[in-house]
Amino acid sequence: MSITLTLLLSAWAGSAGSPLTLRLEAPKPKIVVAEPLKLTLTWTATRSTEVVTDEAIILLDDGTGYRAYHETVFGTALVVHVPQKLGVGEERKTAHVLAVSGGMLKPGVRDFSFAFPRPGKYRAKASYDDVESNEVRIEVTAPKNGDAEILAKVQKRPDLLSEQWAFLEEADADRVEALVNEHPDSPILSRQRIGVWKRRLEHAHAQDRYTGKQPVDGEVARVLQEIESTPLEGTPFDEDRLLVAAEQRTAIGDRKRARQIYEEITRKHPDGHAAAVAKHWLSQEDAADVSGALKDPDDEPVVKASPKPKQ
Amino acid sequence: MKAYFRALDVDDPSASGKPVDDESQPADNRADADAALGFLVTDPATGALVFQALAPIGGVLQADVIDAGKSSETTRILRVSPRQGDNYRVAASTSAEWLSPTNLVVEQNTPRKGPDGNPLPPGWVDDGNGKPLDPALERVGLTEMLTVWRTLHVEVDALVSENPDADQAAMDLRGQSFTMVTRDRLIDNSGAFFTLDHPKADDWVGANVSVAFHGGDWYDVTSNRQMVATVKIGSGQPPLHDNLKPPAIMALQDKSYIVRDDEIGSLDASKSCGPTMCVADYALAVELLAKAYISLVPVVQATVDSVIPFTMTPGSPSTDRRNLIGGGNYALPAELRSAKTFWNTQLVSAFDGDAAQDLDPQTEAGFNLGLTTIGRVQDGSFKYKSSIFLETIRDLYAKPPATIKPQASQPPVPLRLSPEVTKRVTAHEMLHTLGLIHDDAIMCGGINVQNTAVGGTITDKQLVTLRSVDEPSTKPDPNATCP
Repeated sequence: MSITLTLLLSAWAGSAGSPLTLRLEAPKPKIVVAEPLKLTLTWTATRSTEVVTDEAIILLDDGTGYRAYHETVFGTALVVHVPQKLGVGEERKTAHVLAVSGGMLKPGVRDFSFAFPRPGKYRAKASYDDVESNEVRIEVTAPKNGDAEILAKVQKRPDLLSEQWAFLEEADADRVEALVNEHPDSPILSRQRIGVWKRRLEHAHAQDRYTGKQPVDGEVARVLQEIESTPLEGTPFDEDRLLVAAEQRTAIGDRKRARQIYEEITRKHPDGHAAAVAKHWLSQEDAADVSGALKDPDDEPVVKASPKPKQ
Repeated sequence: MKAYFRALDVDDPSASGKPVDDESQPADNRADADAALGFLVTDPATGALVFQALAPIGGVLQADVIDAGKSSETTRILRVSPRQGDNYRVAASTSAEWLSPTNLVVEQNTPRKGPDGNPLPPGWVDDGNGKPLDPALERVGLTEMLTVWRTLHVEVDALVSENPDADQAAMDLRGQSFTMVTRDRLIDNSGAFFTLDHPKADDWVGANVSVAFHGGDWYDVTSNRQMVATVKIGSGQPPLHDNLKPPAIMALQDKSYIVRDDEIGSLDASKSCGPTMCVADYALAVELLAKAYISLVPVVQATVDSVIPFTMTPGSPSTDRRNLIGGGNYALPAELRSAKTFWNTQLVSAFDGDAAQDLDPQTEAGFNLGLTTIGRVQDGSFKYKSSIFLETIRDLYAKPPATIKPQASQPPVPLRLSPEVTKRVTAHEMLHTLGLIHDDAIMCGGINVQNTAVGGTITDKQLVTLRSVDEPSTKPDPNATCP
């Protein structure tokens, strides 16, 4: 019975003739109004093919039919995509956050909307070329208490919940940070909390440069400790918190701690998009043994690497 | 004797069909809300000259009385619509009847045939029987066609390195003492190849490596780990160890090396970024905008207002002007504010785009050649800014990917680079400021960079958008089929 179901699902989520299958999941399908929704899209292929994962389109149905949904971005970029190979048995995961759409359409004219502006039942699916994913159902309820207060404050400025616009101007970024400090556990602000941390990391880098401290011993390390010790429980963005921390640890040369965090990602969030990043990093790190890279007969003399890089 | 004027809104001479000139619409290619015949009067309150409308377009305006037997001159003002591409002719006569719609017919939506049997051209004005009304006729004077042109005033700015040697050194990885060099590997046991902005394996793929003991040879990095960078030995190149045996290498006094993936020369307008110079080139934008009756005029600026100092600070996007994203989208001086009546945008010769799409490393899943944003300039107003990423363009020509995806739902195709990428990218970004989206031709990145004619053109649908835009603005992009 389960085999039959699996086959049916594959046929439905793929497209005749295409080797590609898309599987869409919502780690947290029950949200409140204005809360960002995270979707994870898993790409697999029955034969080797080339894909441009950036070209996946999310379709959202608010009860009036499916429409392409575009999360707002700052600016319009000319990007030429280079196809990436997706082999048989390989799996690629991409994350898609639905929070705010629209943009500034004329100088000073903001035209932003929440992805989920009112309570109700929504549906989402993904498409790429002629392949469509399965459908996920989303239930959106009215916010209460602190979340209702937040919504009242951002109702006229949905862009304050967007990833990029919210942090472009210092005054807006300060406003978002104040909201996050006031409501640290609100699901509506869970993604913005990561944005606030990123901003604080940038300030910390500036401070360490000014004081002459190494980031690994200075303010950067202090902010990282806070990030690492503050799980975003009950939200789908905890893996993003860990990813920010791991990437920063790597960048400042603290690879030991980075390894621990990447391992934590694979343990705590094995099905998310961050786990794929973590596994890739760990596999490359494991392959970084220099002596193994010098086996060519022309590579005399053999040079032994230090066991661990200098921290 | 009285003098009469009549302004005529005539049909578009540049097209005679959909979508540019939809003859089925009663007022196609016309927007006469503000257009009128009248004259200038002095506002008693301000002393300024203001236009006073006396007759709408198509209506007959009675002007001065002319004394019989005397030569006289009378002037009236035609205020045109503010929409680019609208066309007018003005007729004058001493008889209102001769200017009436019966006697003065404007070729508009219904093609008629002239005396020779051929369709009358758009903008044609005649007596209703195909007989031309031209200056040769004594009873009616008629102007040539007047076409409305808009001007896009562009502040042309550039990132400039104030100290190219220092900036280049800051972007390079400059190792002082390698551990060993083999035929195709550079080894540094200090773990030097992982840096703040190259923290992972293979982050240097596509960079160039040179070792000081034969510093004129540059090698292409094909992979790297923390302590090893592997290079490709190009045709005719000596091996990386330059045929020295290990003892001789170990005995070298100078074991320094350079790993470089960004060239500060990309900000030097006297140098080449591929087949063209390292500067945003708006020549194609001028040509394409002219099709929509928009004239691109660079704003005359003081050097201090057109130069943006190049800075780079790894870990600090807001002050790192290599990659122009988010907070790093620096504010520029603004001499002028943009408005419906005065179109003003900024064009910047910039360095790299999004760090994840700047071809560093070369294995990235895309390359970002330009970006148009709206943001505050230094006086606090909002303005559009188009940035052209010259270092990414240089990189693209130096080491182009094998295939690209031209549009969504299309299979990958081999990349054959146009020699005019800089011009095309500049035009693409400037066209964004006037409402074009990613949908076709030059506005599709994957078509834009290919060496085909269509990559340097706009479609008729895009021309319609340019003809109707009333100020610099962007549109939601729900149907974008390409980036």
